[in-house]
Amino acid sequence: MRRPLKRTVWALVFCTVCAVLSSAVPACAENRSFELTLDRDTVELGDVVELRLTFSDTQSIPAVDIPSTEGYEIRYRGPSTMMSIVNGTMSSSITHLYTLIPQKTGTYTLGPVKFSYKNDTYSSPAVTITITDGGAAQALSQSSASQSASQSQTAAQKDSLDKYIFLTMSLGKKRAYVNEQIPVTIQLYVTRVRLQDIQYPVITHEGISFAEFNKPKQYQRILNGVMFEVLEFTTTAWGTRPGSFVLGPTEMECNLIARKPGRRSGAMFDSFFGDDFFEEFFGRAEVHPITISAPKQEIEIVDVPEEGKPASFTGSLGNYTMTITAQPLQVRVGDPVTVTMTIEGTGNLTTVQSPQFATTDGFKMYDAESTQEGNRKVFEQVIIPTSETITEIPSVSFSFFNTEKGSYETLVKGPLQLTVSKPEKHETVAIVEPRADETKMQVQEVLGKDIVYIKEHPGRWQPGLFYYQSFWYWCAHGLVFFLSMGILFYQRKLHRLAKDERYARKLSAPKKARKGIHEAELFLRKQMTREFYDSIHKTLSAFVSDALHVPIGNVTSSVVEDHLRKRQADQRICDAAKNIFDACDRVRYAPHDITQSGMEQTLQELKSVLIFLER
Amino acid sequence: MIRKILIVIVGISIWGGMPLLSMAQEKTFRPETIFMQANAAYEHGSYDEALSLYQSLISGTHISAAVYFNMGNCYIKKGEIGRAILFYERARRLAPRDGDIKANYRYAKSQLTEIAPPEGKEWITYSITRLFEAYTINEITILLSVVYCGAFGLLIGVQKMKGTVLWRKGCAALGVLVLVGTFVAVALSNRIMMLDKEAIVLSNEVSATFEPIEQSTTHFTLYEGMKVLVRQERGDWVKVERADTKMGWIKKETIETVSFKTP
Repeated sequence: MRRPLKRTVWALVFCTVCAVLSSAVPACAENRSFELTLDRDTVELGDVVELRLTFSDTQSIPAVDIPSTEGYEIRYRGPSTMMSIVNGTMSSSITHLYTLIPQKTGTYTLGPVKFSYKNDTYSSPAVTITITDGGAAQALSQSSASQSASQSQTAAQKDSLDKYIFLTMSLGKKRAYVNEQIPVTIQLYVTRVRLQDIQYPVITHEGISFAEFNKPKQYQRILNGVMFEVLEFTTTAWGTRPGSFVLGPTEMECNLIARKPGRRSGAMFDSFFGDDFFEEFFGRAEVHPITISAPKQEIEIVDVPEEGKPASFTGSLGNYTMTITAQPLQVRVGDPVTVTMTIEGTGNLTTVQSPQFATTDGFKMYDAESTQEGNRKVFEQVIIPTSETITEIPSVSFSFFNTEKGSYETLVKGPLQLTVSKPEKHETVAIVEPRADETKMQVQEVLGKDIVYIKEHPGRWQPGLFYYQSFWYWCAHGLVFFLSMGILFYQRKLHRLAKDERYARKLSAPKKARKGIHEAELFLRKQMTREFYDSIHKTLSAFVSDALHVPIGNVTSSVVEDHLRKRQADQRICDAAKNIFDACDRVRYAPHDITQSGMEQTLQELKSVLIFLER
Repeated sequence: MIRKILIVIVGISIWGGMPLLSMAQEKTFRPETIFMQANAAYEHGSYDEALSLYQSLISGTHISAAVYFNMGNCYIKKGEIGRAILFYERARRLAPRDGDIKANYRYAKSQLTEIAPPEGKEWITYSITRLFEAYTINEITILLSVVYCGAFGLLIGVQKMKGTVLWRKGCAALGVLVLVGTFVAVALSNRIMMLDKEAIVLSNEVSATFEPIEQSTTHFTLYEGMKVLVRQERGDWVKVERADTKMGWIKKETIETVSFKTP
C-alpha cells in the first residue's frame, strides 16, 4: 500500500511543476475566434441594425474598425463588458456594439472580420444582411402605372435612400455678367422619412458671392407620383470676376429619425412631418446625423462690354427707372436743399451708386446718403446754393448696363426750377465785451460763523402737561368711540327693521300690547263692554300675530294655546288665554252676562298672558 | 354827615386800592419781566446771572422754547457746549421748526471735537419718526385725534353708504386713513418713548463699560455733546445706547436727560 501512494504523490508533484513551468513560458501566437452577430438579418431602409462583436475570456480587446460600404454605413456605439461566476468558475467577455445604417437595398455579406492584437489573430465568421425598401417600394409601385415614362429615371434611385431625401440646386441663369444677380434656389425633397435639425445649405463656391438666404418656404409637391414635402431656400449670387466657375456641391446637414428595430408595426417610414412624438418620447426612435448633397453646377461669368460704355457708368447692372424731387424749391442763399433721387427696378442694387449732377457750379455739395428697401434705392443729397443768380437745380444722370437688353442705358432727370433769393441780412461778427462790473472776479466770500442772538420775547408759555397726558383728552376720545359705536348700532338696527319684517313686528309687539291694554282700561272705566272686549281680543291677537309672524286673521284660541304650550306655559296661563277668547266670543252672543268683575278678570288674564309671552 | 361820608370814601379807597397794590406787586414777579431781566444780564455778559433768572422761570413751570434757547446761548458763551446742546434740544422739542434754534444747534454741534457715529436704528421706525420730526408732540397728538375722529366719521358714513357706488371709495378712503393713523401713532409713541430717555453727555470724555463696576472693561467712549438713550438705571449708573446701537454703562452724573423739568 505504501509504494502506490508514493508514486501518486510524485506524479502530482510532476504535474504541478509542469503546469508552473508552462505558465512561465511566454504564450505563443495563436488564432482566436470571436462572434459577429446581427440582431436580425433583414432590415428595411430607414431602420437600423445592431451589430455585435463578442470576445470571450477577455475584456481588453479594443474596438475594431469595420469599414462601411455602399450598401450600409457602420458606426461604433461603444463597448459592453460582462463578468459572471458560475459554480465558482469566473468568466468574462467584452462586446463591442455597432449600428448598421442601411443605405441601399440589396443583400450584403458582412465579414469575415479579421485583425491582430498582441500577437494573436482574431477572426469571425461572415454574416449576411438583406436590405429591403419595404412600404416605400410598394407606394412607388402603385403609381408606377401612370408614371411609366419616368420609371426609368427613378429606377436608378430606387435602390437607395436618396430617393426619399434629396437636394436640388437650380440657378436662374448659367451665363451672367459680372455683378449681375443670379437667382439660386435650393430645394430639399423629403418623403416617408422624418428629419429634424435641418441646417441651412452650404454651397462651395469660388469667384461667386452670395447674399443671405431668405426665409425658407415649405410646401408639398408631387414628383413622379410621390408626394414630397419640399423645403425651399432662395438667395441670389453674383460673379465678382469673369470666368467659368463651379458652384457646389451643395451640402445640407440634418438628423434622420429612425425607429429602433423590433418594435415596428406599421409602414416602413413615417411621414417627414408625421406624428412620431410618442416614439421619440418613449425612446423608440434613434437620431442619425446625415449629410445630403446636391450636384455641382457650372456657371459662366462674363464682363460687361467696353463698347458704348458711358462715362457716368459706375458698375450698376439691371433694369432701372429713376425719379428726382427736391425740397424746398424757394430758398435763400446758404439754405440747404434736399434732392431725393430714387432708383427702382430689378438688378443688383448693392452695385448702384448715386446719380451724378451735370454740374456743381454755384452749389456746395454734400455726399449723398442712401437707403435701400426691396427693389428701390433712395439717395438723399443736400446741396446749398451759394449765389442768388442760380435759377435751377442741375440735371442728374444715372447709367447702368441693362442685362436684359445687353446694352448700356443712361437716365437723365431735371433740371428742377429753383428760386434763390438774397440772404435776409449779412451775418456780422459781434464782439461782446463783458461789462465793467463783470470783469471783476467773483471772490469767494468768507462768511462769519456764530450763534444767533437770544430771543427777546419769551413767546407762548407751554402748558405743564402734554395733551396726551390730560384726562380730558382720553375722555373725549372715549366719548367719540362710544358715540360712534352707538350710531353704528343704531344704524344697523334701523337697517334691520327696514329689511327684516319679522324682526320689526316682533319688536313692535310689546309696545302695541301696552297701548291696547291702556285702551282696554279706558273702556273698562267707561263701562263700554263691547269695545273693551274688542280691544282685549285685538291686543292679544295682534301680539301673537306679530310674535309668530302670521296674519292676524289666523290667530285663534287653538293657535295661541299651541304657542303657549310650545313655550312650556303652565296650565294657568293656557286657561287664561282660552278664557279671554271665550269671553270675547260670549260678549257677541250674550252681552248681558258680562259683569264688571268679569271684565277686570279678563284684563288681568290678558296681562298675565302678555307678560309670559314677553319673556 | 360829612364825617360819615369821609369814612365811607376812605374805606372804599382802601378796599379798592388793595387789589391794585397786589397787582403792582405781582407785576414785579411776572415771568416776562424776569425774562427781560435775564436777557439784560446776558447782554451785559453776566451769563451766570442770566442763567439763574431763566432757571427761576423754568422752576416756576414757565416753560417756553425761547427760555431754553437763551439758556443754550448762555452755555455757548460759557464754553459749555454739551449743556448748550442739551438746552437747544429742549428748545427743539417745543419749537422744532424754529430757524434760530436749528442754526444755533448746528453751530453748537459744529464745535464738538468728536462726531457721533452713524445711526443704526430700525429703518421703518426711524423713517416714520423723521417724517414727523418737524412737529411737536402736541401737534402730533392733535393730528392723531383728527385722524381718529375722521376714521370713525368715515366708518359711519361707509356703513350708511353700503350698497351704493360710493361704498368702495369710502372703504378705500377709510383704509388710507387707518394707514395714516398708524403712521402718526407710531411716530407719537416713539416720540413719547424717547421723552425721558434721550440724554446728552456733559463730560468731556466718558468711558462706557460692559458692567456697572468701576474696574469694568471699556466698551466704547462717549464725548461731550453726544446724544444717548438711557436704557436702564442702577444706582449711580445708567446703561446708555449710542446712535450705532452700542450699549454700555456710565456714571449718571456724566449725562443729563432732555426732559423738560430737569434743570
